[in-house]
Order: sequence, then C-alpha cells, then structure tokens
Amino acid sequence: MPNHAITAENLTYRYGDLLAVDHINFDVAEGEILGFLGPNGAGKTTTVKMLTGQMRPKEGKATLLGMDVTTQTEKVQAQIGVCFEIANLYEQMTGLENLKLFAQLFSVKNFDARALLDRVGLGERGKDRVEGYSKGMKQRLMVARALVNQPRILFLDEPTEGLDPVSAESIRNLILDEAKRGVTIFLTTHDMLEADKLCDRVAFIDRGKIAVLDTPHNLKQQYGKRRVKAQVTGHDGKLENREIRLDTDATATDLQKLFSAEKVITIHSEEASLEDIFIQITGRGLA
Amino acid sequence: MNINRIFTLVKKEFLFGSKNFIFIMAVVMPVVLTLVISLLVGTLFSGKPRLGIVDQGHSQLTAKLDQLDYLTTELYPSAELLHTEVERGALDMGLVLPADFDRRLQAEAETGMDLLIWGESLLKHRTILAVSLVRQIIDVAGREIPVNTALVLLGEEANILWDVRLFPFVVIITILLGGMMVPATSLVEEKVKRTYRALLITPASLRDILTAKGLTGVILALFEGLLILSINRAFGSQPATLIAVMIISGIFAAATGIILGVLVKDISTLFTVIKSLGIFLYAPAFVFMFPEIPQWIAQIFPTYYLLNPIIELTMNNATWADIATDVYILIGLTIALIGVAGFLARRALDADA
Repeated sequence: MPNHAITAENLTYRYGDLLAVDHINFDVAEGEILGFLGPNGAGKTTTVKMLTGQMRPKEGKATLLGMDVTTQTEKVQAQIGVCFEIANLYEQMTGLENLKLFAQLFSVKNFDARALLDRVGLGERGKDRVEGYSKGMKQRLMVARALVNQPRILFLDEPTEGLDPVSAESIRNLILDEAKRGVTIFLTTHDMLEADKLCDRVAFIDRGKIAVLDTPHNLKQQYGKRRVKAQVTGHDGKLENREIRLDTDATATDLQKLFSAEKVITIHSEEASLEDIFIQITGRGLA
Repeated sequence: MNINRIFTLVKKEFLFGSKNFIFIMAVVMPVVLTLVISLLVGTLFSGKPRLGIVDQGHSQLTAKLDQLDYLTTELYPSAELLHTEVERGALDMGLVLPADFDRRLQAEAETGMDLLIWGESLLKHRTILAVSLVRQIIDVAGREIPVNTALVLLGEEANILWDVRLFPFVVIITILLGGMMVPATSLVEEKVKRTYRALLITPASLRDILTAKGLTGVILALFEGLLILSINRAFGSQPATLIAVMIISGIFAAATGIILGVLVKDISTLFTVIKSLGIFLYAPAFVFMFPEIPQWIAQIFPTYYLLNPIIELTMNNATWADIATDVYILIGLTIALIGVAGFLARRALDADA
C-alpha cells in the first residue's frame, strides 16, 4: 500500500446554508499528480483551502504527510507550496525580493533566489518590479514562490489559466519536473486536456461531491465510447456522417458494409475526452 | 508567535511600505506641522534667551538666574569654553563671575564681571538678559529700588500662546498617523491585493502578521513622537515615564488601526471611516485648544487618556502620581482593543477566505 501524502476524510465545508464541500473522501499517494476537476463553484478552491490550513473544515479531517492540518497547521504549511489562481504578489517589490521574503518566512537556509528564477525563465527580470511583469511572468513567479521551501506537496490552482501557450507549456514542464523529484501535486483545473496530459489520476468534483476518481485511462475505458466516424457521399451527392461503435459483435460487419456500400471520403477513430466523460457523469459541462 | 518571522515582516513594512503615501505622510506631516506652527505662532526659531555662566565662587546670582523660567542657563567650567560657545552662537550671552562677587557686592565694594554677547543675537534676547541680570544683581546686593512699579495687565488674563494650544493637536496627529493609519492602510492593501493569503500559507500565523503591522505603527509613532518632542524641547522632567506612556499610546493607536484594517474593505472606505471618526479621535485636542470649553468633556473620549498624560508630563512637569489614573485607564483600553482586534481579525479574515 503506498504512503499517502494527502488524506481527506468526510471533509465538509458550509458557507451558511450552502454546502460547498459535502463529506468528500480521497487519498493522494506520495509523488502522485492528482487532477481536481470541476466547474466554477464546484468546491475545488474550498477543498484546497481546507487542505492547506487556510480554512478549518466544518466536519471531517484532512491529513497531510501524516499530520492533521487543523491541529498542526504550521508544521504542515512548512512542507507545502501553494500557487494561487489569482496573482497575489507584492508588486512594489522585485521578483527576487518577493522570493527572498517568502524564503525568510519559511526559514530557508542558503536560499538561491536567482537559481529559482532561472528555473521559471525569469532570471533576466529578477531585479525588475513585479508591477511591470506580464500575466504569464507573474504566474511563473507565483509557481517559483510556491517552490521556495522545496515543498513535498504542491497545490496548484489553475496554474495555466489565461496564459499564452509558451508560458503554459513552461509551467507544465515545471510541474512534471517537480513530480519527477517526488513531489506530490494537487492540481486544480477545469482544463481537461491539461489534466489528461499531466495527471496520474483525476477526481471530478461537482456540487461539493466527488463524482468519480480514477486514472484518465480507466475513465476513458469505463465511460468512453470507442467509435469510428466517417464522412460518405450520399445518394444526392451531399456529405453525410456515419458512426460505427467499436468493441461490439457487429463492428466488423458494419465496417465491411461501410466500405462496400458507400463512398468513404474521410474516416477516423475517436475516444472520449475527459470533458465528454465529465458531462456524461455529472450531466453538465465545465463552464 | 515567532520573533524572526515578525522581524522579517516588520522589515518588509519599513522597506516597502515606506513608498506608500500614508507612510510618507506619517513621517513628514507631524514635522512639517510642528515647524509651521512654530514659525507662525511659536518660539521655536527665537526660543528662550540662552545665558552661559562661568561662576568662580558659587554666587547666588547664578542660582537666581537659573530659577527664571524665561531664560535658559547653563554653567561652563572655563571662561575660554564660554568664549568659544558665545562666539559660535550657541549662547546669546556669556557671564563670567569672579570668586568674591557676592561678598564685594554686599559690602558695597566695587566689583566687576565679564559679559560676552553674541553679535548676531536678537535684540529682544539681549534686552531680556540685561534687564534680568540687573534685577537679580540688585536682589543679591540686598538693596531696594527707589521705584514702585504698578503692573497693568492688558488683554486676556488667561492668555495661552497658540503654539501651546496647538501642541496637543500635533501630539495626537503624530501618534494616530503613525500608530493607527499606517497599520490600517497596510492591512487593507494586503486584503485588496490578497497578499495576506500568500502570507497565511507560510508558517507565519495571523498573529505574527498583525503583530508585525502593529509593531510598525508603534515604532513609527514613538520615533515621530520623540522627534516632535525634541523639536519642541518638551521632554519634561520625567523622560522615561514619558517614553513609556508614548509606547502604550502607540500600542493603543496600532490596535485601533488593526481593527479598522480588519473591518474596512478598501482604501477609500478607510478614509471615509477615518474622516467620520476624526472628531471622535481628535476631540480631546480641540478641548485642550480652547480652555473656555469645560475640560471634563475631553475625558469622554478614549484618546484623552493617551493625550492627557503626555501633555501633563511635557507641559506641566507632572509626576507619576498625577498621571497614574489616566495611564491605568489607557492600559485597560489598550488591552481591550488588542482583544477586540484579535477576535475581529480571526472572524473577518475567516469570512473573507
């Protein structure tokens, strides 16, 4: 049985009468990347806040690296890094000063701020004030700040949201590098493609409950419809769509019939995306 | 609470908060206000006439001159040093008394003394010093002047100089700007920019963060307060007690600032609240400014209990016994404010999360 870096037991939070997180249970193994997926207002951020000690659960318990988050908050926070969705940097300070401030608060000895800035591609801009940074640069600095204390668990809340493809890719590479180093990553996103690329397992959260938690591969196997889509020329010369499901008894016959009876223009196989599966499970999209 | 983390956060407040408009105001405004008041209605740039004395025989004249509160007197060990000090303008006048000055004066024998005058001293200072000197010499000689002087007081009998009336106002502005406004604006900015969230996921606790902000306010209020008192030469006879009272006043102001910072959502609302609270905060200074108003009214306002001990110590040479009750009330109010600030901070920031 793997060691669990994160354990949530009946984790619950209410804002007045609104049940934002509803008795959720899950584990994340050490070194695993877990994608926490769901639409806005599903309870993702509230869950992260409870896991990182920013909010006390109304019920249930969160354990990180064997420590109760509620009673050992300071010890837990020394071992984690958090990258927020909205940039909250000290904009009057330079990038270097931001990192050094947090290194001091984490009591990091021999901290090399410049090396960390180099890692996120901001080495040249370290002495510039953050207020002059672009959105992508700020987001990269946020990720760097989350890494200041060499955390064992990294919480990333929509780290690539609204970024240009180059910045987004550099952050994804950084996440994969950290995972290789053995860091457990809790990735909150509603970008299903990103989750599919990066995550070992994904959890779908909807209306405060975890609807499903599994590997992307298993989810596609379980919920996906493997099929072939073809475009053919109809009797009147117009293009028509044909769809043949794979893995059925009739698949071979249907394919043979398609090629013998119709003029096939294009043909390609399709597997379900995580978004399709999410809609199938929850009955609604991610927007 | 962790001292290192609090120190790191205080350092951050001074290094980066000092670029903030309110921080600059808190540093500059009290000094400017003091200088303007002193220039327009006060005596800062003229001051009291300064007399240096070299007394070679423990003359009664030295003691009598020293008792005059409208002069500043200082004893010097040698005539050479006195000469140097007058020449460089540190004194308006220097007086060298021979060893047998009193005896010869009282024996109606001829005697002399050297009087050194700084060439650039004000005429009014020279006049005050000369008249005072003559009056005290006659006193030491034990003779009567064959003239009776009838004093006729014109204008208000209880006239108080405007620089004295405005001094409490300067003191309260100094303490509240540095002690209250700086922590309040800093906390509101952290909330608006959500940077406090980033701090709260480090091992720094909410208590560390609030303590650092409060401490910044206390240090600023104390530093500015001491600067203002230095400019006004108003340390009184108990400087240690005065500094202790100013530290407690700074904590009172900082706790009020934290409460405001926790409750208020943005900077413009903060300024609106401060404007509304202004009369409540500054009321004791206005009451002190106008002695015609019954002075007990000032006691209704909490800031009276920080202002009154400072005014009593600086202007009326009060002792601990004179101000003890006010200081105990101030300590009580401060403890209550710290409790309220802690409670509200936890509740408000939780709700904000």
